[in-house]
Amino acid sequence: LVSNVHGKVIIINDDWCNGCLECAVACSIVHTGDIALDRAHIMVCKTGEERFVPLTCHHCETPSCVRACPTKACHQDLESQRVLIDPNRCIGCRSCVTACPFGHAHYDEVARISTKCDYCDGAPECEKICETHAIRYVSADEVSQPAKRGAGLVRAAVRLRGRRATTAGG
Amino acid sequence: LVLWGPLVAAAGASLLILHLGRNWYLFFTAGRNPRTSWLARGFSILLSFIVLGCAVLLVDVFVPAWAQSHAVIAHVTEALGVIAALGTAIYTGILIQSNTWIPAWNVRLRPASGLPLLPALFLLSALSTGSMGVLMGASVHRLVTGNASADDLMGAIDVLEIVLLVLEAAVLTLYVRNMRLGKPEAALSAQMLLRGAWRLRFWIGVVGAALAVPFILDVVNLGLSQRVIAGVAAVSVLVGGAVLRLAILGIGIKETPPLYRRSEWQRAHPRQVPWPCDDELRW
Repeated sequence: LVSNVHGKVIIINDDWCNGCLECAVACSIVHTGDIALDRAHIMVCKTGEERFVPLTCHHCETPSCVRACPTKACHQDLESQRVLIDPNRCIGCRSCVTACPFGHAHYDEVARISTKCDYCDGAPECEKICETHAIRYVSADEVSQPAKRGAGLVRAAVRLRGRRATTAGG
Repeated sequence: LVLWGPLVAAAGASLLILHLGRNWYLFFTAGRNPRTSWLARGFSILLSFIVLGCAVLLVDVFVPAWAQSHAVIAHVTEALGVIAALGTAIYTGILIQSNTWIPAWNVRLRPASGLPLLPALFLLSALSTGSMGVLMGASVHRLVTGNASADDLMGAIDVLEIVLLVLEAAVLTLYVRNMRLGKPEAALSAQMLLRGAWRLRFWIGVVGAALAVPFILDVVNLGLSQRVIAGVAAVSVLVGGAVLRLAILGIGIKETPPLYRRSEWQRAHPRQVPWPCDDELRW
């Protein structure tokens, strides 16, 4: 769907996603230094119709994860409009994992902290590597409301029906 | 016996710390966000209970009885300790219920309004398991020392436990009933509990061990005060209480966000039939 950072948003068109998982591989390499799909911050859902939908954090305006975090490790960066988790302050209580209505934040069993999509500081690797351009990182002004809604609805429908089979988050 | 409770709570709290992740040693920062986080509030409540309870215990052990009765500060500490103990008993339910996206944890007395039932259920269960823990301690104490001074206490706990079990059964029935009548995810949770993957743990662990078995044993034991019967009932309640918490956590299913439901509707009605619940999109 859509996330804000420096006035730019990620939009996902699942019609173009072929389920190659390169986005998840790139994400895990950038964030963990290893190819570990279960540690990637982007999750690729697979539906019964053999459709694939990459899922990232929505960076909500009023994030449930931030409200639930007891240590303020999960916080909202006002400048970039991102919701971030400070790895040095996260105690791994998993409150954010339970609180996120979209099931995005997840607990990294290796790093033993909660992690989530941080938009790679404004240059998402998933978008760079996506050959089919199913993931795009564009200015919010360039995205019309119907396009946002359409992209969101398609992805949402798949999420509703589908299960996280091939994903990175397991 | 009751005064040793804070030490048991401290031992339990250390298990919570063990469950944390890489930065476990920063556990003391868990109270930094009390404005919005129930976990932070719970941290403060639990810490208060342990500190106040230990203070009361130290006073009881080291200060002579005549001096205790004249010390106002000791009474104030005791009163605050009782408040913190009740807070500790009820906050877990509130913490779980604060996850508003999980309908099974947000069941109320009346649909969409009224008293939240989960905190009430957890409070009753905490009182029930706590009193049975004391009873078990008293039984062991008598067995080891042969001192019969706690026999009156055991008889009183027996009666109290029967009342608590009846109340807990009533709240649990209401909770499961309202869950079945609630949102689709809540109804699915209820199905998991009653007939699905959690049915054995629910019927045997919760209904059997936490409610039925101790109730029967307590009623049988009313005039007898048999230590063995009381001990079996206590173990049964403690095991059942743990299974109850496990089952409640296990059946939690996140609600499908309204936007997702709208998408499903539009897929099912491709001819632009208006979505009937646009108000829901305000979330």
